[in-house]
Amino acid sequence: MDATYIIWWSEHILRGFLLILLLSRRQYARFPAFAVYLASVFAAGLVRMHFYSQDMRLYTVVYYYSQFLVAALGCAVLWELYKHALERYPGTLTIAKTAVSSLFVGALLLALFNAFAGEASGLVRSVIALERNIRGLQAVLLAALLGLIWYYAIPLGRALRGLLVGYGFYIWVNVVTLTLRSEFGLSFQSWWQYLQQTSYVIALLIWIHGVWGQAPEPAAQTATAAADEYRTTAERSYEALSRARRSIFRLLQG
Amino acid sequence: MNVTLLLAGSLTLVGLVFLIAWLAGTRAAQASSTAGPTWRPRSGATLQQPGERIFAVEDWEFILREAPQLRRAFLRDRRAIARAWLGQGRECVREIMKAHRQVARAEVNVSASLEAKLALGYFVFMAASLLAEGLVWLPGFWGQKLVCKTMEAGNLLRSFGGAEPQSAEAAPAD
Repeated sequence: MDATYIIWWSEHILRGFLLILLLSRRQYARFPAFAVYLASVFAAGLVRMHFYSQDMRLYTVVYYYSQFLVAALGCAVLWELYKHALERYPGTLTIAKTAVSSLFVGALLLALFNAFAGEASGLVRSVIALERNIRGLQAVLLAALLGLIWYYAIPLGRALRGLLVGYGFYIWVNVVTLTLRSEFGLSFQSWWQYLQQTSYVIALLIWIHGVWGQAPEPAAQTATAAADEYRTTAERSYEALSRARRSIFRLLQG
Repeated sequence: MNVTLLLAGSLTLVGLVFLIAWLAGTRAAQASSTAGPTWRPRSGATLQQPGERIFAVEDWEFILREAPQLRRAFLRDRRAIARAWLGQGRECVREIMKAHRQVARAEVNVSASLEAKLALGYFVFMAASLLAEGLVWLPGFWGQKLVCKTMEAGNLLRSFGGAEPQSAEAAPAD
């Protein structure tokens, strides 16, 4: 049997197993977008494998159409990760909304700039480059979420951590391989195929590990702040920070 | 260029994913074991530094007067102390920001612009403090100059005449 088929079947088996896990542990209710994403990828994978063995030309068409659907569903998974990570921290959620809106405005401006610079037609022509850009945007959004989690010291439960790490890894490999594929063309095709498939198997294993255990979610460490406590704390922190900064700058001057 | 940029960005991202997930996991474990009151800054945790004692001018005057051959060793010690002082400043600011973030993350009416300003100020301070620490440890002119500036920051060279800073700069480099 071809190595492609071996990896492919491993993918199907692991994905099926993960879907069963999600259903049996009732995690699908908690992560509905992820469950829909997995089910769609599962179905798309079976259809793709069928066409791969029957008609290569049709397989290519099916691959790219289904890949767009998968990439779009990936955005929903990302939204779900945001929602679950920050739902018990309304302050951080507000910051996240502002950050994501700013990122989308930035992406829109960049797209407009590219349109005027004449690169849009190139992007439309190159499906791979377009998918890479979607994955790139997802990577930026994921990085923003990770930045917020780190900065505001948000604790994550096992399942959410698994989803985040698995999806982050998968996006990373995708951005890298899609970049190399669009850069080197067909000479990278077989590598691209193997790397994408293998990375997906690794992501599936990380997800299974996350969903497998039933560790309790960490308690939200929220302070019961008085109405004006935030404003007072922020002002005090800002003053202290300004004083500290001034003292360091004085030190560095001269 | 694009490829390098994307690859570098992607590598950074994957590193971030694993690091933050690990850190968040550690925090989750801590949270479940200490589900108690929220963190508050240590009483008296302010930006007041013990610099006045550390950079006391009397020591410097004494060394210059009684044992000028020890100037070099004295400056070396002062460098170590300056490093500790900078580290203490960073720790203090870190605690202030930690307390602020605990309040901010739970506050519905949080101000995004104020948060951005605070975050930027915090990272600028951290970077500047680390840079200062690096410069303090540089052998030669810059390090010694900064040791002198550190002393000035402690308001302890005010009573110096014109000779002392020159003496400090003239001290041999490590």
